Amino acid sequence: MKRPHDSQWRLRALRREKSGGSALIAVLAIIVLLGALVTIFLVRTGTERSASASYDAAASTRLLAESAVNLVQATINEATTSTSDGNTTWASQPGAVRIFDNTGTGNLTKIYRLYSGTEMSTETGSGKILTDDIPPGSWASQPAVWVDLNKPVKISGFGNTESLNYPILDPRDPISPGSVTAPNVLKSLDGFSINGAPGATALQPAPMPVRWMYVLQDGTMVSPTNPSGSTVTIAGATSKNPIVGRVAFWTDDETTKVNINTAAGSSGVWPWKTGNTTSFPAAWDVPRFRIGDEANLFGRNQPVQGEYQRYPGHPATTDLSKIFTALGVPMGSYPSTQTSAGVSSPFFNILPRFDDSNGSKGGTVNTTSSNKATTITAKNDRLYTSPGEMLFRVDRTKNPDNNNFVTQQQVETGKFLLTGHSRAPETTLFGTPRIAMWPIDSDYGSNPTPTNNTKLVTPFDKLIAFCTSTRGPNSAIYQYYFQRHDSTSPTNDWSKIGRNQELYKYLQSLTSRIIPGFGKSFISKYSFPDERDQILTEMVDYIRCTNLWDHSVKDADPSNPAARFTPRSNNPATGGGQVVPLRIGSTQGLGRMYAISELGMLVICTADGNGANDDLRTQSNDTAKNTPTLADTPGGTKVALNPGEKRLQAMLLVELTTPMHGFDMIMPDISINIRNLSNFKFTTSANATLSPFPSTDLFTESPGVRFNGILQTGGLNGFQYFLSRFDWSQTNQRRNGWSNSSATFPYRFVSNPFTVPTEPDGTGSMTMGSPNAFTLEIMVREKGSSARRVVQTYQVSFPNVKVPLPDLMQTGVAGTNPEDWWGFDNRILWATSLPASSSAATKGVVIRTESASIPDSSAAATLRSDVVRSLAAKDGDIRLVMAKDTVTADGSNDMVLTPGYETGAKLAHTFMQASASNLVPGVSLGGKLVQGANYEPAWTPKVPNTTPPAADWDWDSGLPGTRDGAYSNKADEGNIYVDSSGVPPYYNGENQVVGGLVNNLVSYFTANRIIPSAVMFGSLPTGVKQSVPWRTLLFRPQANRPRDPSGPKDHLLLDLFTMPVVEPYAISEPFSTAGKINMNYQIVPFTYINRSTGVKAVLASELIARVPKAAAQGKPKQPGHSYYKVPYGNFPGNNEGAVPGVPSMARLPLNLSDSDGSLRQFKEKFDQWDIFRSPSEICDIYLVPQGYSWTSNSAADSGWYGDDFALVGDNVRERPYADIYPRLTTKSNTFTVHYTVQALKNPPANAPDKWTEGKGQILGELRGSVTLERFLDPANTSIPDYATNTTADNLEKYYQWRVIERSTFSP
Amino acid sequence: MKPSPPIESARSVAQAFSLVELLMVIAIIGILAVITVPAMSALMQSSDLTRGGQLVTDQVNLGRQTASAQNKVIELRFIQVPGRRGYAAAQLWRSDDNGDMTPSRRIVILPQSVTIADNSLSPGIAKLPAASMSLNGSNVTYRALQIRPSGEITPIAAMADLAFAVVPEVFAANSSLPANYFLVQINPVTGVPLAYRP
Repeated sequence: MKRPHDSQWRLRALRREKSGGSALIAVLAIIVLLGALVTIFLVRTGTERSASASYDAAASTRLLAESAVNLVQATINEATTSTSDGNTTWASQPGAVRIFDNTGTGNLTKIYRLYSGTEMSTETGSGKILTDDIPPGSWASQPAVWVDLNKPVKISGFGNTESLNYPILDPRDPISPGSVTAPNVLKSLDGFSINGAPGATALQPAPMPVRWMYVLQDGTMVSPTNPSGSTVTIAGATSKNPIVGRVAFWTDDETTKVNINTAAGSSGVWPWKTGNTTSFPAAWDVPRFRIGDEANLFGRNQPVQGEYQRYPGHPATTDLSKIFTALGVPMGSYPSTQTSAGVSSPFFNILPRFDDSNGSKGGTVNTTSSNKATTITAKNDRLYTSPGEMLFRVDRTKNPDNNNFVTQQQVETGKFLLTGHSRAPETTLFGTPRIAMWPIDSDYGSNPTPTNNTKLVTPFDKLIAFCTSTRGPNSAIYQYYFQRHDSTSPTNDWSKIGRNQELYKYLQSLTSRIIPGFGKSFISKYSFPDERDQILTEMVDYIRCTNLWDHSVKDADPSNPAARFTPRSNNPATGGGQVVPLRIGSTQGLGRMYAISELGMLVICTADGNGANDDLRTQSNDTAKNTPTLADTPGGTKVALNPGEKRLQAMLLVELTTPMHGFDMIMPDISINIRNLSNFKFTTSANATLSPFPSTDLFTESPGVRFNGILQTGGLNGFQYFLSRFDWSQTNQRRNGWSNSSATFPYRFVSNPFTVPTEPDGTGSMTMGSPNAFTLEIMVREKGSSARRVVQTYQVSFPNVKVPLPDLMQTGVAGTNPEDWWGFDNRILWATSLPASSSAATKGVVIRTESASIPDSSAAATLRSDVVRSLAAKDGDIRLVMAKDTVTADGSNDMVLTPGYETGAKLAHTFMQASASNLVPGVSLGGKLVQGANYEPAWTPKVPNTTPPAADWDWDSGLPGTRDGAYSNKADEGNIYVDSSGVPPYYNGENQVVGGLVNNLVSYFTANRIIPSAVMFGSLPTGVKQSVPWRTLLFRPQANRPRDPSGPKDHLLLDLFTMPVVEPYAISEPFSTAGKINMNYQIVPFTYINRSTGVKAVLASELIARVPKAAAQGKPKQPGHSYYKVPYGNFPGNNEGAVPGVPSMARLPLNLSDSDGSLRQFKEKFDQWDIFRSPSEICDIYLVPQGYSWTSNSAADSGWYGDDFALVGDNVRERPYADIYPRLTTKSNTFTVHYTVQALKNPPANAPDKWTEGKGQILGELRGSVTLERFLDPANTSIPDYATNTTADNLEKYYQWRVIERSTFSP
Repeated sequence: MKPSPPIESARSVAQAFSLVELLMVIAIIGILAVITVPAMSALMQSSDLTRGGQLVTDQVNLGRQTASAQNKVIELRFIQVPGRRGYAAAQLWRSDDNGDMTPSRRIVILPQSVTIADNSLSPGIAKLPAASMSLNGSNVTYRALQIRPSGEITPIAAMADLAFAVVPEVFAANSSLPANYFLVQINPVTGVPLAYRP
């Protein structure tokens, strides 16, 4: 039934629907608005979600990079701390660290890889396993296994220019880089090349592929296996532990790069060679030869203070200029045009701390002509932290100036070759601290703290002391340097300084240990009793005798200087420059002291009773005339001789030599006391035994200052030296100790006159000798007192020998009268006169023959002459005598018969003059140091002609005016004196104290110039105890040395010492030095990249001496001169150096080729997959001079020891090694890890343990590098004192790490 | 018992609206609409502007993040959409291993009523080089800037030039800024976008 209100309901419903409809519209509108809001929100979140997912990927790549770097750090840590017990050692190369033990000759035991590969470390005995890591040519087809760390990125830059960026090695030549699609590889740099790079393309000529290591979620790193196509298997990955990323890295060794903060190099185009356009390295050494180049480069144009680029052994001598030239870095026309005074060359304007505005400018400018140098003030620009900083100066302008500046491409290519951080450890192979080569006065050493203000040390000394000390608990300081204080005592510097004793024991323990990396020990090599200790004592004493008079100590009053180690050398007999040898137990060093190189008995005839007709002989027998020897005592009653009698008198001649020949000069204070000289007896032909010498102690005072022909540089000083007492007034105050009892400086070794029977014609013979020894003592005044102590004793017993009688001189020489020679009065008085001209004896000759010339022993046989018999150092090696506390001079032990002793000749001796161009009458010539050398007679070395020289004899070259001989390579302390005729320093033999200019020497000197490195020990004898002459420490390669005992090579001793570099800034810190170059330049696994630029930079600054054998002969137009030596006071002309028909004498730069030059042995070693274990192995490398091509070790040996180089002494041969060794290392403290890491996501569709390139997702990638440095904190008090605790774990455990630089490759 | 009908049933006459009421309601609705629609459109426009501006900013941020994470150069392209004024779409592209450019993300289109002005209002557009690409089969112009992994933006170096104005499309041709706009300025060194609203 239809209800009436049904329609109402409907209407209502409709109405409701209508109003419900509008509500719906409103709701719909709101829903639309809300929807729009939500859409915005969701769109935003979508983007935000992507962005944060990206951020997460980026964060995980950073974490992956950190873990790669940490892995490398841990690997290096494990490698180095595994050597803590000192039985193994480690060496590093770019990409790997190797461990060597001490068995055999040092076997490889383990290799730690510093790049991602299948294993981080492998135990192996041969480096050949590294060949497995060289990437195959098809590496690019396996992107899941291999990744190119050096993959370049091509990007568009400003204005649509495209550029190519390489993260590690940009091989392009900055001068012509090529295009982006065809980069042009740098080919003009010697030492950098890429040969046979696997999979190289036009775009990527320098691939550096390494294997990926896949990282799982729990941190495990897995190497991919089973590559098939682009899929690899990652063992251990599951869905709960999926792959989260992969890392690839390679570690570069920063020490194989040249450090732009410490390297410089100095070259010059020598202006004195007319027409010369070639530049030569401007190394510096003391000049030794008659070569014009040497006189200029080493003598006149010496480096001044601040010219570190010429200081031998200083890191600044490492040559940067070749690398800069190849890169096109603006260097001006360096080195061809040196800039004017006060102006730096553009090359040095780039370097932060070195300068060439003044000074010798590569050895081309004379710095000594006025004895005043213009010094160079060190710059203090900021040190570069990376090669990139070379782009700008401190004030942010272009470097070096706005017109010619360093460009980005130069820096990009340079970053593989140059570095701003490279430190290498200064520790021994055992991992313990090294001992300094520099002595410190014990006034400071007893309390080496800043409160100690003693004037005896300079700031350099304190810095060197700091660099070689560690701290201990309770403010203890453990010093690793020797201290000294008393140059006049053989024992005080030992007994009064306890630390010296501890350090000596430390050296003994290190030389008793088996050397890791090489095997065997030094005590087993020098096993003769006490020989090893003797060598150590010599080394300690050599250090003690360095820096005798420190010119850099600032005296308040220069005319009254403060005390130094030795007294000042300004007055006679001060002991200036003289050091009594140190005595330790039964061993003795060489000190800086005179020893007796020859002792002779001179017998003269003072009156002859066989005269007739008032001839000279009759006049000599006239008691009315002044022939005091006709009496038995001075002033006694004269008795005339009968016919058949001669009146004789004898005098002992003492020839002094010091093996420590060089500057500073020596003003010796040595007196000689002889006891029981009466044991020297004469037995006449009538069998009467006479003992004419007094039986009391005979004491003769010290000689005085220099005079003609006597040098203040040590070396050999003729016997006239001790016959003299010369003072600055130019008079000889020495008198005959027999005839003048009131003399203040008597020569007491003169006998009373005695009469012997003769034949009627005056001839005859007698026997003389001292089979019962007499004792000769060398005495020195104690420091600060006038009491004297004995420093060396000689037990002298001349064997009895029958000799002819001497003749009465019947002629004078040089205007003197015959009777002047009938006694010793005048002979002694005139001893300071010139002994000879080039060919004729003059007043100072002392030993006479009846000849106007100077006959040698054989020629004198037919003349009237004196009689001389002598004993000299065995085989001529005075060093063996110097190192003895008591010398047995008995004809067959330490001092032996000289040639001719038993021949019945009148004159038989080998006395020589200090001024080498003069001869002593009757000398036995013919001695040789070089077989077959034809020495000009006056330059004959003091070697008995009865001993032929062996090829392995170690003899030294002296200063230019000194003959070759047994010297000990004294550290040179400077000479800038130029005499009035312009003879350059070192060629005039003069000292540097002239008219108060001594203080100017400080403008030329610094500690590093005095001692470049421990190679300076190279002339210390090793056969003192065993009496093996002419054998010294060997720091150079020589194949045939039959007299050397078998055992570790001598050069391993270098490892125990260090010379810290403290200028111009603290390049040496405690236990590390910056700027050393690693000898192991082989890059693993990228062996096709050759980067030998570092080693070549080190070697490029050295010069090798060439002095051919023929140069020993005399110069025909200059009597007394030879071709290779020039008497003091003369100077070699600019064109000197040529001997007709033979290669000219020269100083030659090195041939750096690796096929026939100095790097050949490096390449051979790396080809055998071995590396160098110690930088001292440079002493096994033949340094090949330019112009020579030696393709094998035997060719090099026979070349370098052949005729072309025959007259080069041991010290000159080893000098380049002294300069090179301190700049090399085989260990590094600074590493750069280059990494490429990617965050990965394996899509769920793939198996969790498989990764397919292309299917797997790479969420993020990070490429970059981190530079790490390991360092020792010297204030760490838990570092033990290795000198007293010889079994403690070595320093490797105390190293800490710091991050120097982080950079990301995001072009 | 039957519920009693509501009071309205007392009337019980056909309850239709009278014409006057309807006209009144329509007039009131009309007046309300006239008042509110402009405000609504302004609101809509401003929300579109916000969305559009945020979109551009987000694309820049996403581009920066992707470039940094993947260590690749990312290109941010502002694309002219056919039929709309100015540049109304943006897309991130990256270079693949061969050096060719491929899209990294999907194309993002600004809301219908807003666009990026392509005249002096957006100096960035004028300074960026133009190129053409294909979009859904037809060639369109785009302007691109590169975002480097380090955050640096190229090729424009001056910050003043690296600005893009998102404006209502109706004002896209104007040379002065409209009343409401969303200005995105990007720091060329760090790649951080800054937003300016009036």
